[in-house]
Amino acid sequence: MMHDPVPLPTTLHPEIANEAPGDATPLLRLVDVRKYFPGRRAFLRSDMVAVKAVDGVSLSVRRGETLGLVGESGCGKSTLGRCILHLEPPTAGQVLFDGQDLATLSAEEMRRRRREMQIVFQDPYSALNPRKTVGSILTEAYRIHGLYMPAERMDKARALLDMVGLRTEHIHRYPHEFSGGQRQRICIARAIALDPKLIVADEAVSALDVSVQAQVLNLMVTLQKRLGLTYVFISHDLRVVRHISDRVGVMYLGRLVELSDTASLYRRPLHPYSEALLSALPRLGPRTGATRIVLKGDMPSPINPPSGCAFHPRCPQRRDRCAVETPELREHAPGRLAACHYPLLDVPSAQDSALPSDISKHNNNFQRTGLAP
Amino acid sequence: MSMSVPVPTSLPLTPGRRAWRRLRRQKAAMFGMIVTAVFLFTAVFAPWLAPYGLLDIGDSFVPPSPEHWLGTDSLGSDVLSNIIYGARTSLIVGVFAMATSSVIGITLGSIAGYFGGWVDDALMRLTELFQILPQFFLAIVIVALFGSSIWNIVLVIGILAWPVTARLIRAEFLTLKRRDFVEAARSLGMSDRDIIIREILPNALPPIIVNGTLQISGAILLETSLAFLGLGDPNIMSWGTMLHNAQEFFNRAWWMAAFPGFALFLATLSLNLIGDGLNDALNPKR
Repeated sequence: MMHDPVPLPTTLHPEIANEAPGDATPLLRLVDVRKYFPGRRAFLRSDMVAVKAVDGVSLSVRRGETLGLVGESGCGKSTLGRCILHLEPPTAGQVLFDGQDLATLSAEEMRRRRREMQIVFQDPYSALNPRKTVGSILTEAYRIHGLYMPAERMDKARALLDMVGLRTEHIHRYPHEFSGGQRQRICIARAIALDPKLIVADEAVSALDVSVQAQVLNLMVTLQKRLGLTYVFISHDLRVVRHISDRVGVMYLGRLVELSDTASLYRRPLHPYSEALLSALPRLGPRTGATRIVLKGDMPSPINPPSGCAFHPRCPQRRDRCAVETPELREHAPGRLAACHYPLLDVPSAQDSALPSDISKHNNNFQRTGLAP
Repeated sequence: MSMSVPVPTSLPLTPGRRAWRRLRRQKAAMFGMIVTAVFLFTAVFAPWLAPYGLLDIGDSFVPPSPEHWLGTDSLGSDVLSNIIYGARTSLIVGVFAMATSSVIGITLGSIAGYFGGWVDDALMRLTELFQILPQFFLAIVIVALFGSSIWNIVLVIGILAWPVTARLIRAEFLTLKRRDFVEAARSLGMSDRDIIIREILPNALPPIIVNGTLQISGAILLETSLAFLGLGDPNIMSWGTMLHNAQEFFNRAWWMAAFPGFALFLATLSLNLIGDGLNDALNPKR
């Protein structure tokens, strides 16, 4: 069989092309970030195996935007979030915050830099020290950085509580006296205490009831507008990500397989994996021929990822080339990047239509799945 | 947009207050607390409570009587007074030995558990080195070599008992350091030292408190054993010394051995009951 045609990349450095015009430095830029964890040594064998939790992710986040990161559990999205904050220093690659490589900072410089980047965790029960009152949790940030007089700190903490919609008289309570949603508000208050530029929300609403989810999401949006925050919003919940994100990155097995603006991604994903993921979204109304794409098998082990495109064993569109050659993240349409040899382009460009019938066949495939809006 | 759900408006229930509430419900623990309180009171106010001074010597081997409630010993000193002064010795040894071992154990255990890696390996091998030493034998050797002053004994017991504390605290640190609130503190820019002391340690203390009460009773027993073998501080009255002196006269004056033995039994039992009670009270999972 002949090799399939290669869609030509429009640029060699899509992560740079993806920046907003006129924006000198994006707030956050990741260049080929990798995080390998040393795996367990096999019995009586000397070779070390590495779990490739994050395997070469490049992207940039603009000031004031919300970048969603979605993927199945174990795809490395949380690890990536922790790498961004250098809570887990990456094995390789660069994290550029405000144009500055975080790896080059001394411990003391990093400590000061931390004021500008904060994290909100998934589990609000584990994220708050059970032995401290809300007031002492919130004033801790000021104490660490020597901000304000000790007497003023409590007033600041009260202002924070008010900002996240909690009652200021609850400042002397302990975390266990609050509900999950209220605790998550406390976590958010702590995250904004130092007036950061970036907040990484790692599954920030996943542990909450659906009704509370909406409240907390709205709070986050309000705070973003009010404080000019930039969010990296990590979640496995596609609806939540759609609600809050300007752009969305889809991760599979430690790699970014698609990065697109939210509307385009949800209207028509480029990567077959994104397509399968989106087809799993429940929707209202009669099923007008929409078929759910059920992927076969489990996600492969990140210790021993498949050759070529990591998704190829489960991909409904795979061809011979996919098992051999690893696709790079390329721009296939303006502002839309995908790491796929055969992206699901609905309108073949002039360049593409010059190529043999493979692409149109591909599009037939796509229509069969009935994901057209 | 803000919505504030009202929270029940009772007294702020600190973790400590909750534990105390649970502790109060346990009869055995309360018994232990009362006996220990009496023991503490006796130790602190020994000179006012003892009917006779340590140097008041009268008739030897007087059986329990209205003048000498618990009799007199071979030298003619009052057994009850000796027990009261002995409580003081036991308290000093127990508390200070526990404090010594806690300081060493908490410091080394926290560092090992928090930093992990080669630091952990090195400190844990050191801990094991101390754990495999035959403790009582070592205590005898050290006291025999360096003299048997009460502070020597305290130091020896403290140095022998820290590995347990270190291991407990290390285990707590290993689980607690992975909790999100520690990550959150780090992402606020908190230093390692502050994370250890301000964030993790307060959460790691419950098993140490339980272990502390057991260590006090262990230290009291060890001091008594040393004194029983004649290695106690000769200048200080101790239950072990009383038992040591009573050995030869057991057939003649049973009260010389029975009453200090009973005091020892009661003190260690009540401390252990408190330890068990605290274990349940501080561990809400059970």
